[in-house]
Amino acid sequence: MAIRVLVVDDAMFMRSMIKDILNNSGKFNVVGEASNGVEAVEVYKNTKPDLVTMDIVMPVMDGIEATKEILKINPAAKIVMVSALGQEPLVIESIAAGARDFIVKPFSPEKVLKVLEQVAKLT
Amino acid sequence: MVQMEKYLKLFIEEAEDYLKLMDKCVHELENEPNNESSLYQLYRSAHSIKGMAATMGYEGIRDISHAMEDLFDMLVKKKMEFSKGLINVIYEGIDNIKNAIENIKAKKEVMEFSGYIKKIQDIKEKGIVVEEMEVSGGAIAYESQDDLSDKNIKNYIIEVGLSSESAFPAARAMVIYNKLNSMGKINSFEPPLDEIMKGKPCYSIIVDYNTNIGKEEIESYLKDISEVQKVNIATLKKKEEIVIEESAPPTEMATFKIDAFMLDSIYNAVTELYILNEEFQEYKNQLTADLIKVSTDYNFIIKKLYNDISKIRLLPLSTIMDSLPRIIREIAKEQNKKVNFFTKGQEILVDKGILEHLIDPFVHIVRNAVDHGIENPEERLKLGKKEVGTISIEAESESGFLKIIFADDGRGINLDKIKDVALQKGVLPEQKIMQMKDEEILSLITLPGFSTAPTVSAISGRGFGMDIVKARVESIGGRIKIESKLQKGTKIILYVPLEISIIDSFIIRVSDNYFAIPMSYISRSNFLMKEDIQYIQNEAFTISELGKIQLTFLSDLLGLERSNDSDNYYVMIMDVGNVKRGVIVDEILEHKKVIVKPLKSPLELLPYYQGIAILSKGKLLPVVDVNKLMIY
Repeated sequence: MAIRVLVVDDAMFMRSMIKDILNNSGKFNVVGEASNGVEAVEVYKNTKPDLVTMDIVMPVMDGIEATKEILKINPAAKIVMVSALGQEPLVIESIAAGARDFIVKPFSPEKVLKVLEQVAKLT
Repeated sequence: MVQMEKYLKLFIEEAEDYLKLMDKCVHELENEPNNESSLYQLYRSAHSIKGMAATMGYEGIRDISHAMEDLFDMLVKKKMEFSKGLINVIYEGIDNIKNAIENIKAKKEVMEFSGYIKKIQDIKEKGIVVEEMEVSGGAIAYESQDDLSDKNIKNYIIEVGLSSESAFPAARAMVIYNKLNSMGKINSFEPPLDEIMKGKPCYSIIVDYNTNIGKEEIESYLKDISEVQKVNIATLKKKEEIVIEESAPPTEMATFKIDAFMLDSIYNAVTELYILNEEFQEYKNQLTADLIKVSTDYNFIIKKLYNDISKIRLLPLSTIMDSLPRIIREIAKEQNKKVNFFTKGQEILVDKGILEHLIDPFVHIVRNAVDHGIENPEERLKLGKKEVGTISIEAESESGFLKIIFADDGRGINLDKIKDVALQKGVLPEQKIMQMKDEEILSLITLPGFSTAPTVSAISGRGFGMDIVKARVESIGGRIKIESKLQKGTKIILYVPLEISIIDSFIIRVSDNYFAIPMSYISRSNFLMKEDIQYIQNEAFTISELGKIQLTFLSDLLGLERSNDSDNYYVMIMDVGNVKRGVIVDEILEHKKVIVKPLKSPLELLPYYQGIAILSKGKLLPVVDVNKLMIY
């Protein structure tokens, strides 16, 4: 069964890119999208996905805050940060907050799939 | 039983040590409820006592310390809030164990603590703040590690090598830390977690680890993590035997002196080796399977060698900061000024090559602060300031860079005067100067030929040698930022790499040309769609989460053709002088460590190039000094 994913990014461009990579792989199924942290928390509650890809810098509520909020709802939530180059301190903060892994933009489809598959199979 | 008697004394001594440590930690928590390291030590102590007691067959102590360990585990993992009410409960537990040990010493009856254990059980159940949900996959980070006391626990030394392509090695190291932490107990993690959290890049990790999971399983978990290139696991002997080894007195050869030139020579050779290896690794796909295995080992060892040798070259910042108080005192005395001087972060370790380049800037900046920044006591009193001026230097390490803030509460820099002098000297055309933002005007004092003039230093409040400071800082791939408020004071902020010669950089493409750009200039990077670029009177802008950012095409700056074939660009946001600017390139190909060699005559006359980066396959790439490029 495909792994259900919520994609969070303020840029539509990035969202559709990640969505295409995931849906085309056959292993993942994007079940929700959000363009800021507040939306992300809402959609998370409604869709209860297996995995979340989370942009860091977003309006309203950033990805680190959203990660913390989601982990409050479900401490076992699997969240993978999506970061631009040069944002390592933010990624470190996210992982300290409980994110499972991260991918760095610009990324290749293979890389995205590898990281997400690995996080998905973690027990 | 006879066997156990032999260990009894050891058990009592060690348990008492742990109890003392626990007392100390609870005391710390009383004053500082958020002290995570105290909580963690409590957890570890209870865990250790539990293990020892179980081995000795003292079930009462085992159960009570187990219950306490669980409680601490929840606190460490923030599944429960620490509150002052818990302190008495913890003390009660410690006292219980103490009493039990006294009883053992006196060969009295063994105690049992079901009442106390029940109490902790109740607290745990009532106190839980977060509830675990049933989710496929389950909660790895929150599973308690109760079974760590069983006999299957083994002690491993694990070496993890990260791919040199890893963009965020420190963040990657944290992922590895979390993974290992969820499956067992980390006794030590090298580099230490606090350094990693500050962003210290590490491509080689060494972990002392206890777990009941087998070697092969650990290896496969780690290898699944992306960018993990190499995993080496050694199983250690029983812990007891190691304790004896550790307590052996250090041998006389623990440290010895080495000639600095010899060290430089070894360092240079290893640096070359590092780059040669990068080249070698690119041919990996041409190797046979056996050779690939050899090359992986080879790669790992060279990275380790480079890391180790880099560590040898580290010296604390205090090496250059210790002489500053004397300099300040002398100038202050000469000029009848009163100055307090504070420093922070002088313990930070920096490559000796970097330190050597920082001596002059430190002296210049501090001297300027006393000489031109701080007013004399009468003037300060008249302005309503404290009679004694303050100069401070604060250093901190931030993602592999060293950030040093020099601050004074003196008269600040007068922007109008800088403008006047700039006009007078004809440094830049009048029209350009008038359009400049305050931050940009401030950065004018770092232009060569501008600041060395004595008239400037006399009127601007700062100026002598700022061009030299800037040149020095940039020569090691660093940058400088100036902030100043009239009458309030001046801040000079330096960002320099912690390591020399191997510079973290982006390899970028503009049309058919490739360049290296040091990461120190770049605060972030991202995709940029063509339609995101807006034009106002021929000036390009984009709106990002940082606000409106002025954009420049690198091709324009370098006088190259702009490529029009693409809809997507990449933008690198840079701190230029004191403002944020976006520089557009066609592509960011990779993030790589490169060796930068200075340009030799006559090439050093090329103003916009900082040096030449040597890549694998002997390719050479110009390293663009974007800062310089944008200021002119």
